[in-house]
Amino acid sequence: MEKKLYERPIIRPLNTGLMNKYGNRTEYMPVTHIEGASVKEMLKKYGSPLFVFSERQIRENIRSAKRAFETRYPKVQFAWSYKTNYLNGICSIFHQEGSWAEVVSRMEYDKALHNGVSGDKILFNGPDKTDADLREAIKNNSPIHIDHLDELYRLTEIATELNVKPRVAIRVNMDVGVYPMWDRFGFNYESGQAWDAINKIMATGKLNLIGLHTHIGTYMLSPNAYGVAGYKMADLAIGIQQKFNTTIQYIDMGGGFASKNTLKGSYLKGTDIVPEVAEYAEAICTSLLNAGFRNNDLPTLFLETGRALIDDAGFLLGTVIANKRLSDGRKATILDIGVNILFTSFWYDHKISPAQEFGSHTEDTVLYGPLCMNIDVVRENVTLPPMNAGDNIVIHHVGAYDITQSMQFISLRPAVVIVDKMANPHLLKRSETLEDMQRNELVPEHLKHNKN
Amino acid sequence: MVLMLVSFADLGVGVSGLVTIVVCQICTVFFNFNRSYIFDGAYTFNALMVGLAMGGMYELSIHYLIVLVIASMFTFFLTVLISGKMANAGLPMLSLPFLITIWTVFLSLSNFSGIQLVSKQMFSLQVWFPHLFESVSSWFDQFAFKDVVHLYLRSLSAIFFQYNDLTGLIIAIALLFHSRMSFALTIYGFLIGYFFYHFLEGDFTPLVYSYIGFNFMLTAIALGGFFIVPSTKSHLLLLFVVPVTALLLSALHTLFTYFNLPLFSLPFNIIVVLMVGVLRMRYWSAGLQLVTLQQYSPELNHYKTAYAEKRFKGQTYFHIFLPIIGEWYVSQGHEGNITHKDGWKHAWDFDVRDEKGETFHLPGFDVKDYYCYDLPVVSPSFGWVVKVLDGVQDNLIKDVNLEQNWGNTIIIKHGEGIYSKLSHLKPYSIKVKEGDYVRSGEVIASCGSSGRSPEPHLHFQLQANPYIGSQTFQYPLAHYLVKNEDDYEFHSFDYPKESEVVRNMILNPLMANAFGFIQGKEYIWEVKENGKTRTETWNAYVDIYNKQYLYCPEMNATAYYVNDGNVFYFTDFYGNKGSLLYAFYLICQKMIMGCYKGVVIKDLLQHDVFFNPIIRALQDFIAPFYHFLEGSYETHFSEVDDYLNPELIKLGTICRGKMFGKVVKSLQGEVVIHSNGIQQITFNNKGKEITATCKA
Repeated sequence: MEKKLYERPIIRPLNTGLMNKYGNRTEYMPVTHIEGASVKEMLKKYGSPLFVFSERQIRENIRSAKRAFETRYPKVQFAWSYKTNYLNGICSIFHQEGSWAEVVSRMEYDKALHNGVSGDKILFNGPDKTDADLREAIKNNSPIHIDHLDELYRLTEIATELNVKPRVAIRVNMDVGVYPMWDRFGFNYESGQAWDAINKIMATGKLNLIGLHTHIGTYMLSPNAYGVAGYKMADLAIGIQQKFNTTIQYIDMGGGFASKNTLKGSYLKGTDIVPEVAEYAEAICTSLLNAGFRNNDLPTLFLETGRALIDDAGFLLGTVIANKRLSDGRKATILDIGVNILFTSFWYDHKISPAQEFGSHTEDTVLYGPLCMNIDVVRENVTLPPMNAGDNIVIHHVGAYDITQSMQFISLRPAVVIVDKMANPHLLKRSETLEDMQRNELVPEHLKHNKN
Repeated sequence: MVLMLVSFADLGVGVSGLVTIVVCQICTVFFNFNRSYIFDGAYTFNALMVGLAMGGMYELSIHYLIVLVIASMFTFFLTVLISGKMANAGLPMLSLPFLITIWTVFLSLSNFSGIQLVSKQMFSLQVWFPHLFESVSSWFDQFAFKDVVHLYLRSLSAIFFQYNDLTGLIIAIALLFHSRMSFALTIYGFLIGYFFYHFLEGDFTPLVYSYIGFNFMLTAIALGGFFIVPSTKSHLLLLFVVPVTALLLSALHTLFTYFNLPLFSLPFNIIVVLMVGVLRMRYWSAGLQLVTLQQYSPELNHYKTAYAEKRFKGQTYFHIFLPIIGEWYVSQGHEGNITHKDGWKHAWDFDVRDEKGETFHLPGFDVKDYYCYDLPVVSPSFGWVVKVLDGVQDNLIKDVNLEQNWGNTIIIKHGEGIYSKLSHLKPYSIKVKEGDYVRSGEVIASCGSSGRSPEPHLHFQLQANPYIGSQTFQYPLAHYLVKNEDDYEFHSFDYPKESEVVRNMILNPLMANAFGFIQGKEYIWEVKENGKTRTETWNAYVDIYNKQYLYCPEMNATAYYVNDGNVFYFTDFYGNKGSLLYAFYLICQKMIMGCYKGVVIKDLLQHDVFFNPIIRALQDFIAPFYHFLEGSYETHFSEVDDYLNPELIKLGTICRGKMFGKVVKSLQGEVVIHSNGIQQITFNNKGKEITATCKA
C-alpha cells in the first residue's frame, strides 16, 4: 500500500463568500518533469536553483510565429533580439531556424559574429554605437539602424572618410494610440523628424537607405497599435519611393509582442488576455498589404520579437529553504531563488508550480528569496499547497530577460540547461564559481597585507 | 543558286526566267504593291515558273518575248488576287496562277498561226555536251533498280521542266544539302506513287512527260513536312494521300489530253489545298499539326515544333497561380478520396499545418484555433468577379453544412470558359463584389469554415462555367514552388499534389532587373576569349509582332526571348554562333524571376550545338520518327548571399548533349548577377572559355 501523503497543518481564515461548486482547488498541477526530464534529478545533478529551457518549445514558438506571418505576407524575416536572451545555445537555435541577429551593443554584435551570423545579417540597433562600432559594422556590411542625428552625422563622416556607402535604416517613433508613447528612440514621425533624417540621408547621398525601423513599445496588448504603426511606416516607404525613386528594401516592425506572463496589477491572467502572435501578424500584414505598394516593391517585413518567442520556454527550478509565519499571521516561504536572478518578478506575477505531488489544501503565502535584502520578494501573495523545507518549485515563463538581466549579488548565479527533444538535459552555462566572479578583480599590492 | 545554274542548263529557260522576274518587279513598284513580297518571292515565283516552262518549250524570238512579258503580267495579277484571297482562308496559293497562265498561253497560241513558236527537241547544254548527259545516264544503268532510279531523277528534273538524269541528280544533291527530310520525302512519295501504279497495273513510264512523278514528290514534301509538321503521322497520311493524288492525276490526265494540255502540278495543287483546308477545319488540332510559323524547311518545322510543344507551354495556358500567401499544405488534391470525385475531381483543398502535421493548436474546439483560419485568400490571377456568395456562418468544428455545400464563395472569370472558384470563406470577410476587377495576388477574402467544411480550409477549383456548383475541369497552375525540408522545387504548368507544401513564387528584384532588358538600351560587354579581348554590344528591341529580342551588330546575331514576368526564356537564335550572345542564349535558356534555395530549372535545348553536321544529318533523316540526339538544360542557384534580399546571385548552368539518352557532350556556364544586372558571364565549351564582363 502506498504511503499516504503527509501535509503539515495549515491555518486558514474562514471565508464567507459565495459558495462555488469547484471548492477550494488550486490552479496548479504539480510539475514534476520538464519536456520529460525530471525536475528533481536535474536539480540533483546541476544544483539548485536552475534555469531550464525547452528546445521543443523554442522551435515551436519561432516556427508558429513564422507561419503566422509568412501565410499573411510574402516576404518575412525574423531577427533574434539578442538582449532578450543571448545565451549562445539559445541564439543558435534561432539562427538554425533562419533568424538573423538584432543587436544593440558592440558586445552583442561581437556575440552574434561569434555565433556564426554573417555581418550582413546582423541588424545593428540601439542608441549607443561608438565610431569604432560603426566602422566595424560598415566593414561587415551590417545594416545600421540610426537612432539620432548625432549618429547620422558621425556615420556620414565615417562613410565619407572610408569612401563606402553603408547600408542604413532609420529608427522611427510614432503615436500609435497607446500610452506611454515611446519617443526616446529614433526620429518622430508626426513631428517630421523622420522626414528630416531621410532628407538628410538622401541629400548627402553618402548612406544607402535600405530600411525603416520602429519599435512601438513592449508587452503591447493591443495588436491594433501595430496596424497603425504599419500604415505609418508604409507611408514613409512609399513617400521615399515617390520622392527619391529609392525602393525601401525592408520595414522592421520591431517586437514588443506580449508573452503569456501576467503583469502585476492585471485582473486577468496573461494567458487569457494576451493576443496570439497571429493577431499581431494580422494587424501588421494587413496594414502593409493594403498600404498601396506596387506588387514588386513590397518591402521585406522584419520582426525582432524576443519575449513572445522565448518566455514560455524558460523555467526556473528552486528549493524551499524554510517556512515562517509573519507577525500579521501571513505565511511566508523562503526560496533559494532571489530577485537577482528573477529580475522580472518586479513586474510579473509569475506562475509558480510545486514540483511534487500535493494534497487538496492550499494557503496564501509570501514568497521570499534568499537575499538578505528587504526587496527580495518573488511573489507578494500566492496560493500554494503547504511546502516543506527541501521541497521544489518551478517558476514558469522566465525565458525572456531573466538570464540577460540577472546579476551576481550576494549569491552566485545558477547553471542553465536545455532539454532536447529526447528529454536529455544539456548544460548551456555552468553555475558561477567564486573564481569566475573574481577573475577580473585586482588587489593593489599595498592592500594585500591582512592583519588578521 | 544551284537551282538557278541548273535552269541555265538551257539558255532559253534561263533568259525567260530572268525576264519574268523583272516584269514582276516592275509591276509591283508601278502598281504600289508591298515590295517586301518581291524579296521573299511570294509575288514572283509563279511568274518565274511560267518563264521556265515557256522557255523550255519555245525557241527564243521577239514574238516569244512579247508573249512572255504579257503572260508574266497576267501571272502577276493572278498571283496578287489568288494569294490575297486564299491567305484569308489560311490556304496556300501554290502554283495555281502559273497553271492558269500556262494553259491560257497554250490554248491561245494554237489559234495564232501567225506567230509560229517552234517547239524544241533538245536542251542547249545537252546539245553542247552530249557525252556528259549520256555518261551520267549510262552510269546509273549498272544498278539493279535502274528503271526506278532513272524515273526518280527524271521526275525530279521535271520540276524545272527538264527531263534528264543529270539535272535530276544535281537537284537531288542540292536537295540533300538543303534538307534531308525533303530529300527523303521525295523518295518516299515517289515510291508510294510508283508502287500504287504498279499495283493497279498502270503504265508509269509513258506518262512521265505529264509530270506524274513530281506530283507525288511535291505532294510528299508539302504534306509530309512543309505544311504539316513532319512526324510519323504525316508520313502515314502520305500513304493514303499519294494514291489519291495518283487517281486524281489519272482522271485529270484523261480529261486534259482531250485539250492537249499538260497537267503540270495541278493534282499536287488540288490535293495540298484540299488537305490543308480540311485540317484547318478540325475542332481540335491534335495529332497532325499544321505548321503555324513557316520556317521554309521541314527540319526547322519539325524541330521547332517539337521543342515548342515541350518548352512553351506557357504560351498556350492562361496563367493561374495559388490563391494563398506563404506556404500551405495540400490537404486534398485532384481525385482526392474525400470529396474531390467524379465531376468535381479537379480541385484542391489547402490548409496550414505545424511540424507535427496538426492543423490547429490546442484546444482546437474553435475555428480560431486553426492555423489557416482568417488567413488572407488572394485572387489566383487577374479577372472579373462574377459571383459572390456571403453570409453563410462558419461551422462548429467537425460539423458540415450540407444545405449550403460550398459556403461563402467567390467566382472569378479569367477569360471565356476559365473561371476559378474559392470556397468555404469566412463569413463577411469577402472584400470584393460582383463586377469588380481583381488583380493577381490581391487579397479578396479570408479563409473560413463555411459550407461542407468540418474544419477551416480553402477549396480552390477551376471550372468552365460561372455557376456555384459547376463541375471542375483540368487546368494546370502556371508556376509554384513545392517545399522539401529546407529547399524548393519549381513547377510550371503542373498540378499540386496531395500532401505537398506549396507556395507562390515571389519575384526577386535582382533577377527581375537582370532579365528585364530595357527596350532600346545598349548592353556593352567586354569579352575575353582565347586571350583576346573584344567588345560585343547587345541592343534590346521589340519587333512589329511584339517579339522581344537581343541583337548583336558586331556578330550579326539575334536571340528572341520571352519574359512573362515570372519566367524568362529564349525562344530562338539566328546568326553567328561564335558570339557571346549565343553563349548567353545557351546558359540562360530559361530563368525564373524568383530566387529560392535548391531550385533547379530544367529545359530542353536544340541539339545542334553539341553534334557535328554528319551526325545531325543522320538525325534529320529519322527525326520525324525518333530523336536519338537530345539537348538538355539545367541551371541552379550556385551562390546567393541572402535568399530574401540578395545582392549577389550566381547561377550555374550545365547543358548536356545526349545520344540515345547517354550524355556525350556537355558545356558549362555561370552568370553573376548584381543589383545593376548581369555582371559577368562565363561559358565553357570543350575547353574553350569565354568570359565577359558588363561594361554598361
